[in-house]
Amino acid sequence: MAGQVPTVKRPAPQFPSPARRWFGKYWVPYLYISPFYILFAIFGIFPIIYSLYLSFIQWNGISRASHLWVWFDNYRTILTDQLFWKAIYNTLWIGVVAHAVMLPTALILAFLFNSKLVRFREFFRTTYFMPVITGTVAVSIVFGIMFGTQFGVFNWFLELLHLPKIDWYRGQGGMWVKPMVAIVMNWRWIGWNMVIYLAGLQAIPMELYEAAAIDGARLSQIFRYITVPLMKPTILFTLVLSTIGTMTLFDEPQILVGGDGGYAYQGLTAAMYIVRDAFRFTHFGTAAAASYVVAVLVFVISMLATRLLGGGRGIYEIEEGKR
Amino acid sequence: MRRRNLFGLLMVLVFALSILLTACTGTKNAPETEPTAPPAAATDDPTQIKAEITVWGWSPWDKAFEAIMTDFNKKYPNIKVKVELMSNEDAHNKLLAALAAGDGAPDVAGIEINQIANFGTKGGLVNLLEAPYNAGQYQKDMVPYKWTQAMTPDGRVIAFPWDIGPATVFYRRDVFEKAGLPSEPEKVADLLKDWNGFVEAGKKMKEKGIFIAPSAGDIFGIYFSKHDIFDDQWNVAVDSARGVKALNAAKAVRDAGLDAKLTAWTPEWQAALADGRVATVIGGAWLGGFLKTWVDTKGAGRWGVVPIPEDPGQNWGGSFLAIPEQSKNKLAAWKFIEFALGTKEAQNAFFKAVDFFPAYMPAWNDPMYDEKDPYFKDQQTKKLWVDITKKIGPLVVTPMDPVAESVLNQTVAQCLEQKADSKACLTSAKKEIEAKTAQDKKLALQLKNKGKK
Repeated sequence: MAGQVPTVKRPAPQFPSPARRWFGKYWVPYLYISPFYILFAIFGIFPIIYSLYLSFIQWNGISRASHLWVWFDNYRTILTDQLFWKAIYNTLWIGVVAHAVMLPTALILAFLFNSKLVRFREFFRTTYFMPVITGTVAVSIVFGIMFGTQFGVFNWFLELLHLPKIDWYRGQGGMWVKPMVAIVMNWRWIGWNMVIYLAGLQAIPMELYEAAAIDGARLSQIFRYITVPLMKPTILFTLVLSTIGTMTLFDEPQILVGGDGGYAYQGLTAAMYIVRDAFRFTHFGTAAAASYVVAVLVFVISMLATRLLGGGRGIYEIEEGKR
Repeated sequence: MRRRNLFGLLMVLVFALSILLTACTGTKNAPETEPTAPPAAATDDPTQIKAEITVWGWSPWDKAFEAIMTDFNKKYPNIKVKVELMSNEDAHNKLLAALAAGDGAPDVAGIEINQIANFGTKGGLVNLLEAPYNAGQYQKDMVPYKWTQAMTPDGRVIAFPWDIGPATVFYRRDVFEKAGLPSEPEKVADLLKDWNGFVEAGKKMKEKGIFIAPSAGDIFGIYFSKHDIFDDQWNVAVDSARGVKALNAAKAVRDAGLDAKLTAWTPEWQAALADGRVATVIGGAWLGGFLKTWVDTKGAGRWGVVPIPEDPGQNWGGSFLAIPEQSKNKLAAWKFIEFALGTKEAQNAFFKAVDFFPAYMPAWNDPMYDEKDPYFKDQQTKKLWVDITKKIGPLVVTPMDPVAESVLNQTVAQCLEQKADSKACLTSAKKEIEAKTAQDKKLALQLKNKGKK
């Protein structure tokens, strides 16, 4: 009929369940981050879980049918293998020695490049960082040539100084293999750690330095009583990164001394042991077990490091008045 | 507001899908356009087989395949061959990974002698004795010890033999002359007729600052490199009289300081050989090809070849070509392998190009084998290698070889460096090998016995 406004029938209001409300609110952001998580699930989580499964079976590497459940046999084989423990020892030795040189040097360099003592600071910062962006394989090949016993640059240099030539690969029971790897690592990572420490240093307010200078503190005292304590969180950070990097050290020793770790397995790291077991000998079960043992070790070492060093106060905690 | 959400959603979906699709792409081999009827119905007309096959190998296989490609394509105009070169280690590791993953393997895979038994026990490679390959017809034409190497414990033939490595000593004529020694092959062979002679020659060279050998370990290695670590009963054989004798010879060279302690295939090793700071290098016939193509490219006319001292019937190296089960172009792959390795023309073309000595015996009936090689100052090298091949006895390869070889190399290196007693050294090596290969041996024996039923 004319004059009547058509009424729209409204449905009765429904209150969606909490789950549906959550979904309605969050499904878009989750969709945005899904590409990463899907890839991570396939290439990150799945291998981690599958390795755990592998560590409990015996598998020839190819046929599905040959999976044989062996409980903890693989772990027993690994934990009783002298060579595995030698690999762990090698890895820790290289890690500790390399970083005992690397981290303090990086800290001192960062301190120098942060201060007004040195000219052309930007140039030095850039140059020291450049090794980080080179390829590990190419670098290792070149260093391998330089460490050559007969015709290498380092030995030529030693001869110039009237020092005896070092058989880097074999000499004295292979004792020079690990220092060789440590040297290559230092060349690469001093710059990296230096840049991280630089960032940490720049968070320390100038007033502290000025106050100390007024009180008559020498540079070394400033470094020891102001810089280092306030850098503790940064140092801890680099330590954790170093630990993880060391336990997965593979490229440099593999290229320098080969898959067996060189003379008397002196250069065999944990990662090399695992790769050798899995891909050269096709012992996937024991290799998976070894990788889990190494993972546990990394966890333990990181926890220890955090426990030992995590108690320090950073500059932010001080400013907030925390004890 | 709704519309913008919808658009954003669409973009995210498209993006996520595209990432997933690229991540999940498999191999891009063009499948054969053949009837999917049983392969026995495969056509006899070579032009009918259309496929693009991938071959995995290491240097200098590219030069080798170049030498036969035109002739191959004359016979099979519609098979395109793509050669992918990588390091020897990579070729095997990647093949293993591809076989395990069930995807990504080439159509033709190169396998070297030290890995052949290992791959044999794992499966994943086609048994070439079956139809339509029928490789068994070539057995009588292949060097017997090479054929048995390609056979698994349960009687399958999982790879086709390519080359063998009759081992010889390659020596620098000019360096021998510089040391005041004769340089003609007959005289050098007489000089080096036993390891004592080798050591004496080495001492004379040391006076002139020359090393006779790149590494004393090679001398032990000839006898046990990649084969014969186990005897035919699969017991460890390195501590036999033969092994002790070989290690003593290596020790004599090392103790007198006659070797340069270089690791093979490194830039230092290559430089030392090219510069003449090392006078000899031991290897299979294929080492001639290596010398010509990358070790000493300027060395034409200054190298010679003589048999290995004392026991010249040795084999070093040798490769095979195999077809992974997952290949979609198995027939084309087989046609390539058959043409390349089962015909006189192709095998000899390889020999000419890269000095790979054919395991295919009919190939030896060719005037080429009497040729003088200018790189070796017109020496009849191929004739020498044929002679040596006739002296080589059966070789034993086992699935335990990779592990055993790793242990053996390490032990021998330490033995030489520490000047330990050979027999004691090899006995301890034997114990370690037995301990480390016990598991693999058990599994392989199971397979062997299964095949016997």
